[in-house]
Formats: sequence, structure tokens, C-alpha cells
Amino acid sequence: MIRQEQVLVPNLCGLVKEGGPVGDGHIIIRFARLEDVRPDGHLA
Amino acid sequence: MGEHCFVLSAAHVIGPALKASLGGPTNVLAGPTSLELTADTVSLREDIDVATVRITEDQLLEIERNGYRATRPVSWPPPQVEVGDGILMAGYPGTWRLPVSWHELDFRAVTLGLLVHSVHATELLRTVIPDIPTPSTSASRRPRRWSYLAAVEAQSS
Repeated sequence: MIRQEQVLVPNLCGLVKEGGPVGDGHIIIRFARLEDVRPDGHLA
Repeated sequence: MGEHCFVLSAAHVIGPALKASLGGPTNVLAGPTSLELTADTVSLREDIDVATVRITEDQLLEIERNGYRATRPVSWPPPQVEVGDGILMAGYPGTWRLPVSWHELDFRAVTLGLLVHSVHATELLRTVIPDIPTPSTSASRRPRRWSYLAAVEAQSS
């Protein structure tokens, strides 16, 4: 049986800098947000 | 964004490439396309480790023709990440990089689908690998929306 579902298109939300497991099943991620990138590509 | 095209990368990647380009003949590639790195085309912020390189629409089309996917956000800046969001993370960990030969590096990639458990400070996420949703998974346990985090590496020669 083929089940059809909605295709999700993710939004870019940042740049990964580093990350890793913390031993309890969780993963900590440090990333750069992109608020300072202007739509023309210049950085504020 | 609109008529503006740029490569988004890290300052620690573009900074040395820009320095090399300003110092002499250097070939910096984004997929199949040579990037021209100058003070006019590069914006760089070392404090947040982000850099951009402006490219032309023709360069963008060349990159896409060679099988690479360009992001065309519907809005900018991107939405804030919130608890309950799904995150697709992709990157090339430096510790996984293998020198294949004297002039070749193997960039090994990692991709993870994660669920945001909590958001800390300014740039920290606590995430967990979620169970794969099934038809019986309640709506409250499904990711509210999906975002992705990317890491970009450039090669210069």
C-alpha cells in the first residue's frame, strides 16, 4: 500500500559551528543565526 | 534572495581563501564555479563566523546545472528556531576529514534529523534524535515544522 503524505520543505535557519552528544541522548549544537545577513548578501 | 545571489559560508573558510586570492593567483571553487574573492564581493564577520560571496545569476545557474541545489528562501531573515521544531543538520566535521593523498582530502559528510528540545543562550540548541513518526504518532509528538542547518566548506588551490 502506498501512503501519500505532504512533502516538507525545510527552511534554512543557520550555519552549524560545532556540536556533539552530551551523553544523555541529547546533542548540543552551536550555530550562527543569519539575522545579520542582508537580502543582498552584505553582512550588517 | 530576489535578484541577489550569494554563497553563504563561514568566516574561517572564506577568510584564508580571500587572503590567498589577494596575495596571488588562487582558484576558489563553489562546485564547478570559480569564485572571485575581492573586497567588493566578500562580506565577512569573524565575531559570528559568517561570510558571504556575491555571485552572478549565471554562476548560480552553472552551479545548479551541475546538480547542486540552491536555496531560495521565501522570506528573510530566516525564522527563529523554536522548541518542537524539526532540524535537518548537515556538515563536514573536521575530525572526519581524511587525507587521501598529498593533494587530495576526503570531506566526509554527516546529516542528522533532530528535534529541538530546548533553545539556550544565543546560539545553542539541545536536540534529540526523534522517533520516526508513524500514523499512530500523536500530532503533539510530531515536529511542528522543519528547518535545516548547513555547514559549508570551500576548497582552494
